[in-house]
Amino acid sequence: MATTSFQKKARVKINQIAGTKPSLFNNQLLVSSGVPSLDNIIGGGLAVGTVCLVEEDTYGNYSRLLLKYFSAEAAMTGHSLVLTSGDQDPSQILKELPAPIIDDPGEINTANSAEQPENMKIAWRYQHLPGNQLGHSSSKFGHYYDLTKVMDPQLLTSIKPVLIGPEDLERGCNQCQELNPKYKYLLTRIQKEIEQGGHSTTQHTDKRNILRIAVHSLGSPQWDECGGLDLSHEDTDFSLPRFLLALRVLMRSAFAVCLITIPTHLFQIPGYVGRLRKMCDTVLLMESFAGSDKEKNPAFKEYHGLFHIVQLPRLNSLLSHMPDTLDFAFKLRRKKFTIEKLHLPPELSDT
Amino acid sequence: MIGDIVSGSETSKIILIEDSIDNSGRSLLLSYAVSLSQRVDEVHILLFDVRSQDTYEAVKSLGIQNIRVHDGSKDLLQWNKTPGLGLHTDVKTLILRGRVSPGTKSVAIVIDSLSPLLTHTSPPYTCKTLHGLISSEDLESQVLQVVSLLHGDLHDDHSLSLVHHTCTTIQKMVPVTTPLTMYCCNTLHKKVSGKVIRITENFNLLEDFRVMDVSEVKQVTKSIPQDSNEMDPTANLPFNLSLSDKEKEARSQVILPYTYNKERTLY
Repeated sequence: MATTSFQKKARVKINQIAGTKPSLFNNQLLVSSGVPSLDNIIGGGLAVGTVCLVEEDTYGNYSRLLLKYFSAEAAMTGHSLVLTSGDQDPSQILKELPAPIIDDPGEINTANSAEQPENMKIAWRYQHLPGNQLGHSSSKFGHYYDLTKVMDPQLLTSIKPVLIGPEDLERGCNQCQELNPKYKYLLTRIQKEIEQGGHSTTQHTDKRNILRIAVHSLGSPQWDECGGLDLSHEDTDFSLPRFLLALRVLMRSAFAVCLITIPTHLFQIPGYVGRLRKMCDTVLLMESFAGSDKEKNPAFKEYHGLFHIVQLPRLNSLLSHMPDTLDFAFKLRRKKFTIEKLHLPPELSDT
Repeated sequence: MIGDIVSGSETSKIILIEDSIDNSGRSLLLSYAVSLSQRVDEVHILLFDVRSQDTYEAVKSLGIQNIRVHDGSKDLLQWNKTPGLGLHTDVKTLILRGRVSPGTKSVAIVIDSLSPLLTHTSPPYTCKTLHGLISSEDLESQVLQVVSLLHGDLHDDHSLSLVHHTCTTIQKMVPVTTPLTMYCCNTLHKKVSGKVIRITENFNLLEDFRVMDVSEVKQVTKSIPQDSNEMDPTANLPFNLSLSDKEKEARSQVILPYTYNKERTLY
């Protein structure tokens, strides 16, 4: 969202939580997802107290990248982080977080004033306005990252991330009737983290902080999930929708945001994925072109995949945010990952 | 591509060879076992299939020292309570017990085949077994690779998709396209960097199970006829559209409207 030069006359002093901002549409508290282009599309950011579901692409690479951006944003804003993965050790994911691109604000100020008369030849009337990336808020919302560099481990240890890996899930789960034992264990751990970190809305602390929960590849076979079928292969196993419902209940009464990636292409029961989507607030689907026929389509030459917004939440309102178009595509450059509006070329000469 | 994966130049943790009744993949599996025996300290072959007696004979005839065969085909579900390999035994403890020398650094596991495991147990159990085998937790040495054979025509698409999700390389045996080669397979390889390669290749196997004569099967696509008669629209015009050097210089010196100049006047 572009920052305006409008400034309110009366400065109301709100006890602001670092790394959050109120939404421009409905004053909902928002948190950045880590990818500023994604924040712009979904209405400013992820709302605090919601669950965001990312439906994975076939080989899971880009959804893992989104998860890394989400975790990196936690380190940059000082939010607490809980990272879970059933497929691999979560510390491995933490070792691959992208490094932030930090502009030195002192440098930019001097450079700006020196260039003033010469800089713009045609738009010289706009020179006195502040540049794009200099926000006038003290803690920035939405950071840019460099994928070629790895984040400094010290930045991560300062937020003390809680990691729940496959061994923890194996050891911690107990037999449970209603729910897959591993999901139950994850729920109890999340609840414990919320209470211990003081993130619940019922607890009164002087310094509020946001808890970010990142779950990688929930519902993959490593979670004892047989694609929605139970052990007899005849009935549907409703553990995953139940888990998501319980998770959303936990989120609603906590200052926390949850990002989950699920390989929904493994679920072949009709309507099951629809159930999962209804149980979450924001649902995004990443469809990568890798290994498919669309890779060779000249219209998609610049992009690495399509990005679908399946569902946006209606929080405390009758309407959800509606972006001006629903055709988005993502591209992974060497240094950054962006989500853009899909621009079809004006003329396709080969087809 | 297939030569690279078999020889190990392309690293892949979990390899799956999917065959069918018409196109057998057992020889490819053996070629992996032979190639791995040259690269790692120990290769452990687990036999679950009834037909895997052929594998056992072939391996014995090759006489390679560091291949250990564990036969589990006789009593799969362990109804007779025989000690040794069954579907539910912990493979790692078995390997530790059957260890040749205690100082082995790297181990590779070859499974012939995964189909009984997938049939008798649930797909998540199979996926978790595969995934658990590649992590070197209980074993003192590192597991370099797990190669398994799976009969694709025995299982439903859903179970197959779950197993495919767990593997990093999937090689499906398909009918041969040229009479020169014996085998053809369609490989899907997920690299560590995230790139995915999908390729179909014909190849031959020698008696000692080495991969030779790899040739790619190219899809025949309709070629777009090149428009060679493209007319240059600026030719044959009654007026002149090109600029001379002097004219180009004059053009660069024209001051555009709304540009900044000292007096702040507009053009």
